[in-house]
Amino acid sequence: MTGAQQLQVQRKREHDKREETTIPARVFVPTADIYETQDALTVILEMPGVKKNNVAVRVEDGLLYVEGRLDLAKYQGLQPLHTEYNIGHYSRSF
Amino acid sequence: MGVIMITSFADPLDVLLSLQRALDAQTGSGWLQNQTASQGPFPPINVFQKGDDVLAIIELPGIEKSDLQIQAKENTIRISGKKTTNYPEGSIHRRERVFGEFDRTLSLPIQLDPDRIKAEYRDGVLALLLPRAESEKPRTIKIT
Repeated sequence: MTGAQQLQVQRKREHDKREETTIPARVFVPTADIYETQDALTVILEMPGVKKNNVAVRVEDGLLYVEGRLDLAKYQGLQPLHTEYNIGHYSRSF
Repeated sequence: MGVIMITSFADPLDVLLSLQRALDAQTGSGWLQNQTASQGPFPPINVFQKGDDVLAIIELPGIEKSDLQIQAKENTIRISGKKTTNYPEGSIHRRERVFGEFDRTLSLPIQLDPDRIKAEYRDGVLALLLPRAESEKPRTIKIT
């Protein structure tokens, strides 16, 4: 890992849905890092724009589900002029 | 830009969808075309109009505030910094996040008021409120 490396834009990966959602809005898969230390396994997920209290984590049948809901209030009444990325909620399971 | 987009998000269920559509429709607009040379494409940036002013929203997850620099001059704004890792000893199973340095300069088609620029970094998103310079605002001319 070289520190001076120029960062590249990572395209957001869209969540492939297994079930239909009620609204056709997009949900993205957050990028993740997973590392293991002696006593724990740590999962780091990047969900920019999601507040701490809008993150839902649950374990079901040995699967870890993480969902992050975006707060759209900030975008109220704004007119887009130039865009390079799209926004949406986040969801991923392991 | 000639077309004024009406983006009033009345129905909360529809908010995200209409916003996503609006963002898609604007991709590749020529609004920020004249960019200076010293720049990479990172970080991705969305620019919105908010009344007279411009609001730039930049997705920058996982950066320390102290590792982020913002400089403004006339109509350009420079965002630079670095994203570092700090993993403890152990085995890494998956690494999808990217780390490194970035430096991006934007030239906006409006004159800025550098003293009134507000920057806020919260939840991995940097929001820059870029106020239009007073000298650029239209004035009502009194007819005598």
